[in-house]
Amino acid sequence: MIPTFVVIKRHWYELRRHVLSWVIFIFLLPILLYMVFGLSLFKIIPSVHQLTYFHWVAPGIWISSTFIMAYLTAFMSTFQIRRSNRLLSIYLKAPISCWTWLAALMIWATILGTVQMGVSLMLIGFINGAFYTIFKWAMLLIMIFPSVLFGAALGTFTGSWIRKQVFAMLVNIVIVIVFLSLSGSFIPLLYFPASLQAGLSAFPMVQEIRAAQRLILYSEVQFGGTILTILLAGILFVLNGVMVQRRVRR
Amino acid sequence: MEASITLKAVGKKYRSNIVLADLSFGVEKGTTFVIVGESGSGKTTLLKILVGLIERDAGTAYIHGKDIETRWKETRSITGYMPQVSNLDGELNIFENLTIYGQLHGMTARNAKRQAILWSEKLQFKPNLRDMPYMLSFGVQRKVCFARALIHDPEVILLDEPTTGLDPHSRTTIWKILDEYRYKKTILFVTQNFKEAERFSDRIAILHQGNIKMNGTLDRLIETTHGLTRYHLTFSDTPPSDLINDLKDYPKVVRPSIHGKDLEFYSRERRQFFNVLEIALKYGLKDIDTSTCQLRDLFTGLTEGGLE
Repeated sequence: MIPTFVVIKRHWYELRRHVLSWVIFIFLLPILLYMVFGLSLFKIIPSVHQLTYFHWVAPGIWISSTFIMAYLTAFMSTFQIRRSNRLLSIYLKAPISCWTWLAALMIWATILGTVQMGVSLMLIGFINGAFYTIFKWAMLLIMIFPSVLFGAALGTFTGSWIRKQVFAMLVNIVIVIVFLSLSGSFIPLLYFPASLQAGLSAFPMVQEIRAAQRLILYSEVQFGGTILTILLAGILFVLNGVMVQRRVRR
Repeated sequence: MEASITLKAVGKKYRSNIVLADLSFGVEKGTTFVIVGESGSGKTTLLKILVGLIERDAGTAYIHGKDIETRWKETRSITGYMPQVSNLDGELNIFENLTIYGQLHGMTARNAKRQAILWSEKLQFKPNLRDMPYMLSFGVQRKVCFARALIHDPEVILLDEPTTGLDPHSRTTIWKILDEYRYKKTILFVTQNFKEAERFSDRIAILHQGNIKMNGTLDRLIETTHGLTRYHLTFSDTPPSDLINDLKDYPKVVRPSIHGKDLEFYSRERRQFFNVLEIALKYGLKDIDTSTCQLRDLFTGLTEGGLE
């Protein structure tokens, strides 16, 4: 069997022991985001560009939930390997390179992120009564998918370099809070000061979220942010791989 | 004979602490090579380098003629390694631990499953196959680690204190299996158990402060003592420390030491023994025991300043 699949299989064995709690989590995550942010911000921002806030916020929930799922999965898997010597020594001893297990972790996080994407699209689309054309759904899938890749790449990166549990918790909280509040997923960027708006717009993920919102609003298709996010995820993965390769056997 | 493991001037340091210094030796194919050394002498580091867990800072190492750095894929697939402490994957049960490890080493899923069952029968942990590692005793975990090291039928077996913490029955089982492999596979194990080293080795190396102090067959190593004999005298009461001072007049009485009611020393000449006996008789001598030098004596001598 291809070693990458063996590593993925190992993570599946681990997940299947608590598959029920994971299923509950993937269903709860988009609903929680919808309830916590959607319901509370709806009172302050009733509509954005003539679209009700609930419809406007949907792409933000899709992207945020898939990003969070991919990020946390990748982070936890990598952190587990790097923190406890047990799993790391098994991989290091095996005739596989660091790239193999890092790629496997990326793929594993991407798989779970994609499942989350499907569940989120279905749930929020159903709650909002969003009836889009097949083309629009397909475009949404293409636009949201890079956030899974970016989440997985960022998760493997932070997971590779953080050793202490307390520090890991803090970093994850900060990343999730920053993402939810500054990405334009829940608070429209036009509510931020002009200087901050310009700065935030430079981030590929923010561009991607904005593009998904524009697709819902004006049926416009823009792939600039999508391509940049994929590129950034790729760069992050390669950078992490090179650094892990250099440091892991020291 | 063809070389199985070759190390040339291998060095490793952790920060400023030198763990292995210019280490060179070779292990022939199909032989059992034992490295003895005190804690911190670099035994585990050496195995970790060979198996690819850590990188060396200097030198080169080969397994079956292949450089472990440039041809790591080949060397790691033909190597089985049992660490000193159990490092089973805590999130998987024992069966999954064995099968995933086997598959990572190139086995098919079916073969890995078959071998996992086979090894669990051989080492008598079949009823524990569905248990998680934390549910098992230390001894059973060690047996699983041993099975895991051999599941993919490696050519080179590296064992780090394989029988530490095992009950006598499990210890015998493990040595019986290793005896079956003797002359078919290359076995390199490190230990602090001199009896096991003497019993199961073709060659022995004494590692001290990151360097091989001696290397050869047991007989050859013992030969280097040139007939040195160990004398063990037991007194009815603890002998006074003056006894040691008295013995200083006899330079050919080597390393005299008092441990409770016992006096121990080494000598090549029987005459020296009679001299000591004459003095010992004044202090209530109770019993005498003599033996030729063993590995333990050689090791103690080498690591604590020599037997001369």
